[in-house]
Amino acid sequence: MSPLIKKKEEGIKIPSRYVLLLIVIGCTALIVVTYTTPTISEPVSRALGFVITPFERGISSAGSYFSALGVRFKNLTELQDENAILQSEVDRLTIENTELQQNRYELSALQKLYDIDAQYEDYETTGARVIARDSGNWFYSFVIDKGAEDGIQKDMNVMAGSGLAGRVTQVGSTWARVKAIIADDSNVSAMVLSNSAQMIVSGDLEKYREGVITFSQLMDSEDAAKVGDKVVTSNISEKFLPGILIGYIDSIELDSNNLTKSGTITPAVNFTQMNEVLVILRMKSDAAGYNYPDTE
Amino acid sequence: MKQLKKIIVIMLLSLFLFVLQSAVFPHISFGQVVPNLIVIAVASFGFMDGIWYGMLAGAFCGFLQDVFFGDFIGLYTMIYLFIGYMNGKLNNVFYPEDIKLPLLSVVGSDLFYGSVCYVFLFLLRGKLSAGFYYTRVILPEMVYTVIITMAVYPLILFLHRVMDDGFRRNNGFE
Repeated sequence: MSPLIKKKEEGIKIPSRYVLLLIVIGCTALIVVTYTTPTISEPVSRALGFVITPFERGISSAGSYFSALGVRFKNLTELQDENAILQSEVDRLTIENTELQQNRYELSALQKLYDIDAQYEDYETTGARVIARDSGNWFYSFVIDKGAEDGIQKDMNVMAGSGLAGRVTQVGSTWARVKAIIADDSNVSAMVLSNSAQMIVSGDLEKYREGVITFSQLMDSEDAAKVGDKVVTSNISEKFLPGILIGYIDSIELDSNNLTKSGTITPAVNFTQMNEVLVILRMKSDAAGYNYPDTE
Repeated sequence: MKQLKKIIVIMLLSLFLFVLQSAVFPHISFGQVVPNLIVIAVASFGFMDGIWYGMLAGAFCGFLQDVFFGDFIGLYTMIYLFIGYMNGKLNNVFYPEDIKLPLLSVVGSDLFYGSVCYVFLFLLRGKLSAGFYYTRVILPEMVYTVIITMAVYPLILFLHRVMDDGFRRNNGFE
């Protein structure tokens, strides 16, 4: 060993294992404190986010350039085939769309009669860009480039395209962290659209590798819920606004208690290709009594 | 003075790598697995520059990950701190020309990282199928990370040398 390195080590007198022990004790205390009172970590994350988000904003655009490059290498014939299929789908959907529009006029007329406002189109939203993703392979949360300054608050719902993506769990001044509904520790109270049967939708790392998330505790004694049915957020959910599309039922099984059912759901959002999201500025907590005519 | 400069450089590099990991690496994921650049960085600072710098880089990167992606603060800080510390112990047997030690230490560090994450964040919540988590999450991440290490090791070595030479020269002038 050269004398230069030795000299450096002489400069520091405290043995490293004591420092290690000290930091470990500090960390354990921090875990306990922040786990029991989550609000404590907020000022810290606010300050740090202020430094880091500008970098992430810049670099993530470089990242999406890479992924766009990968897509461009897709086989040309493959794309042409896809185009033909999509074209026929566009035709089919246009027909369906006109039909649906007619239905919608009818619906809005009827809703006026019943004094019900349309629910989900009314929600005021703001667009945001995804600038960072969870750096590991264990959980799925992401960071968006809007924060408290843009009116984002904790527990606001986040949509991507037409489906529910997640919920804001932490807010900085110019950024916010969103926990996706596919994260292993996420639970959403939901219902089947067709018969309003309640269920719990939970993210599951094991199942998500197959492209689905799980649901459980579905009370459906009449066997009304079928594969392919739409699942939306429930109106009894504490944090999620009612009627936001989560996905479609992929499989159903009767639980061993013969009462409830569980199974899997294909989410409506493609989480791997998600770059822009919509944050709904209305919160469930101030939407209470918002449009339930039968409570009056 | 030399130490202070090195500390600042290591913190800036860690910051840069953290941003790279969270903003760019998700886009190059392969079969839903993202390589862990932070483990590579913390391990290399450990065996190249010693226990203190390894612990510094580990605590710093871990703290960033805790603040941005953890539900509570402290767990990732602790994991990376240990990785930095253990790799620091390897400083005595580290020879820059030999790539075997870096690869082995990254294998060990990433396995350690994955196992601790599984035990504390999944096993404690009653997710018992360890086989799945090892074969589909921990081992693929490890393999991908080792491949990335082979690619970036010359770069890390180069950075390390430039840093040390630069400091030595500056010290001479002062």
